[in-house]
Amino acid sequence: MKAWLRKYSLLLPLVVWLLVFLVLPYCFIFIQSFFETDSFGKTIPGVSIDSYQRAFSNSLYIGTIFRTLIYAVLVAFLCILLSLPLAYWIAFKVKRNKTLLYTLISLPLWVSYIIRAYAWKIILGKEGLLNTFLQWAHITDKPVEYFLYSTFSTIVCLVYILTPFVAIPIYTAFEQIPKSLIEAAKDLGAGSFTTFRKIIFPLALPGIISGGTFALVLTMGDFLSPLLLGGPNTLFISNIVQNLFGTSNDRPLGSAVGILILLLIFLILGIAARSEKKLSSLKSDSR
Amino acid sequence: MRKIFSAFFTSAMLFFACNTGTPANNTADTAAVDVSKLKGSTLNILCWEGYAEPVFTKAFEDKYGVTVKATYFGSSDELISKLSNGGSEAYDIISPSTDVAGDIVAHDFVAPIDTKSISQWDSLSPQLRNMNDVIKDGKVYGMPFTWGPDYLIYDADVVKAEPTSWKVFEDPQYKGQVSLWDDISNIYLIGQLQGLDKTDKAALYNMSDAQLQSAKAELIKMKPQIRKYWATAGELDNMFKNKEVALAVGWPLTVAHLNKEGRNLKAVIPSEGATGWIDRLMITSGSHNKQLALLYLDYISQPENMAKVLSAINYNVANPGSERFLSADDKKIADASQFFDKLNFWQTVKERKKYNEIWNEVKSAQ
Amino acid sequence: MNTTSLKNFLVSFSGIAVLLFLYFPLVVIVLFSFNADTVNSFPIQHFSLKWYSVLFRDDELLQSIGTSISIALISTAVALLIGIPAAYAMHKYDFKGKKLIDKIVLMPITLPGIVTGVAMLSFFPFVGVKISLTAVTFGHITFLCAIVVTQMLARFKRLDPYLEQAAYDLGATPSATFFKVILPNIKTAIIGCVLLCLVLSMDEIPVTFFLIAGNNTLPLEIYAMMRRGITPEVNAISTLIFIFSTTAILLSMRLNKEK
Repeated sequence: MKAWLRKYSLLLPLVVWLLVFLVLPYCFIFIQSFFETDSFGKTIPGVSIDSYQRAFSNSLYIGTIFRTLIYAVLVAFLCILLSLPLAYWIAFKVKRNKTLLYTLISLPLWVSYIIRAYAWKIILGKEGLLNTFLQWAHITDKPVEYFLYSTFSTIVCLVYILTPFVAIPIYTAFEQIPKSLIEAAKDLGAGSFTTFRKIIFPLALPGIISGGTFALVLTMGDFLSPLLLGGPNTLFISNIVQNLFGTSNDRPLGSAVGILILLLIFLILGIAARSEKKLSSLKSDSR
Repeated sequence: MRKIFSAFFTSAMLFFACNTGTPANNTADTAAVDVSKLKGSTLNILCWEGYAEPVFTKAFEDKYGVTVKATYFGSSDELISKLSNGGSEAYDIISPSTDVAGDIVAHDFVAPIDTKSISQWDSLSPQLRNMNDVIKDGKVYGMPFTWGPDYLIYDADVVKAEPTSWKVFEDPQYKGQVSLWDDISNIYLIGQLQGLDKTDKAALYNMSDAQLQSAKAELIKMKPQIRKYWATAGELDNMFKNKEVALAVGWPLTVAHLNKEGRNLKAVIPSEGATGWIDRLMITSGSHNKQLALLYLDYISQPENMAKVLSAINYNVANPGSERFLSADDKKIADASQFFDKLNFWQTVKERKKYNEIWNEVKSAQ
Repeated sequence: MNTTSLKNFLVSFSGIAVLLFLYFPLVVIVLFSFNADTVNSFPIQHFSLKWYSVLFRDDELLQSIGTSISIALISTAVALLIGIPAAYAMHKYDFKGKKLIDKIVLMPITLPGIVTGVAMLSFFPFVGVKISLTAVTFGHITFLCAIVVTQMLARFKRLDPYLEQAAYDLGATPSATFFKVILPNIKTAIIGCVLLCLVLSMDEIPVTFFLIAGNNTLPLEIYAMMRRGITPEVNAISTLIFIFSTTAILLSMRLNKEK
């Protein structure tokens, strides 16, 4: 067999599969976003920008996209905030069993998403763990209702689920910082906070950005947490997409909103990739 | 463990069966059915919660050696979406309510029913049997099954005085203890609260833009009172169970389920009235099991089985003959049939898309 | 306590606190699975194993486990058959569009599952894949390809390049080289990858959510149970899944590390 033939026969199944079951579906929702529907929700092929007009003119769609983006930024920020001490501790303070601890961070990632979301229902409910504890300790005298079925519980759950995704790249970035650099800073009299601020944080920034981006993008696409833990005011953009496909039966509009989410995500990924590149080139310059 | 393995093999078989089967002949009929051939097949029912409780499906499964598999939908719109997404082939029987039944027939999602194969057909309530929304070209597409109200349900341990108006949802005393259904029917509820259906029942289902906007404003105003919009009856049960809510819009089965567990839930029709639904069973046009589906319709419409349905979920049933099989307590529920005329039964909403968008806008309002 | 040790203490304390935060909810579920009551309130009054026995009598749940296992096995097998050769080709050869394939293969992981789900829901019927467990399996194969290709590509890159060269020098044909020399060397990585794929497929929701009709997979059955309010049983099944996936993943990590 000729080398090129072998090469392509090895690749062909994957390429064909991805084309038919991934690329074409994505192309199709782009096309479908220009379709129309009858009153019953049946799609009628056509070229209409009606769906986009509705998506942009009604704050239900465009407003929710931006609100979700704000939630996503908040979630990413909180994940980073939690990941920094965790990663710092394992990277710089722990001497033994580092691998074990690293495994411990990543392990929850593989435990069923739905179960991890569900746990918060038990913890945050009116008669749940947290409220019982607060009343027992006489911090509150009535259960705090806002804990569950609210945007708060949704955000807590997302932060909980996504923190490992963020902690891992940050930890990896910390580990890659030459220990000699930190020693040198210390020798020059820098305190540990100054060392963190001036040396560790800037050098770990690409890792922080990639972790944060991950959390941001995953939050944009999540519809289960709001569904399970959200309250009357919690509506993420993915819930709207799910609603348009699963309830309101308006596929063209659902596709148009889906395409807008994709565009926003490409934009975020693009910015993140650029700033990561820029930062790592700065890093190599400074060395 | 053995169960998992057998389930594993049956699902693997199912998996291939899904692709090879072709829809059986279009009109279902039970005459000359070799019943033994049906053994081992699965009847897939896409229905409201409570419509496939083992209490009344078990005997059918045993009789024919089949499995009844239920999938639940949480709203009429979800049913429509499931059917549009290819569900008319994946399910054999569906249980649409009066708001979408006509559209489902018009869009050919369901097959005509041979009423001669349903032995109890003539005993079913004529009022329900003769509703013309599911009759097309002289053929019948739906068998009446149950009907009931969208009740105001309250936890009598928390709400001491019986509420007389839907306005109780706006009572600051119950802030954060109310649950509405995640469905466009809340718009009907506001319409009713505003007295739109006093003269014309259909007004709730044909609201003008201005009326819709006013309903939206009212629903947004109500939001601080709301704990959560429930998506499935089970979710509402769960919230009552965990004392998350004290007041809700809901169906009789929630009261039936929780009071069986020793809770003190009550249901009322407030002075403004309530909306209601009439549910029919239909056989999908793409069903691979039309004969079995028809056998099920025949089975479930028998008076003793209808009685079991009533006692399990406390919904009123379509066969009045069921009464002699009822316990004294259940008879009381059946007696509630006097309120049939008081309910404003769901009708087709022409601007369903708009109603849905309004409802989503309510949910997204901060 | 001087300031340095105070600072050290604070850092360690907050690090440990976050780690505890990651495990606390899991502990809660395990604990509540032994709660005899049907309501999830605290403190637990009575402990019992009853929900585990209820679980093993719940036919729908057992069937959903069977469904999930069959989907996971089939989609993992197909993803390996498609993914390993492609990863090998991507490792060995240079060609136009390699970067593009690299990007596309990762799409199901990087892009939101909901968009992938609705895209598949809209398009699959056009290629004759009806919304059913078959559609779910096709969806799973697609995202598992991403896992297989990235994992195997990483493994091929760590392979000693001289190994292959030596085989050729000794006159082995390319296919003999692959099956006799390369395959035995990546065996453990494949097993690790299989475990990973099985766990991911058993846990997938966003795509499955849109493609399913009738029979539920395990996570969707759990989702349905949660919504129907059958919660104590959910705690029990969750505990079992937790044990299963932890074991599988730890095993997979071990195998991936081996040479």
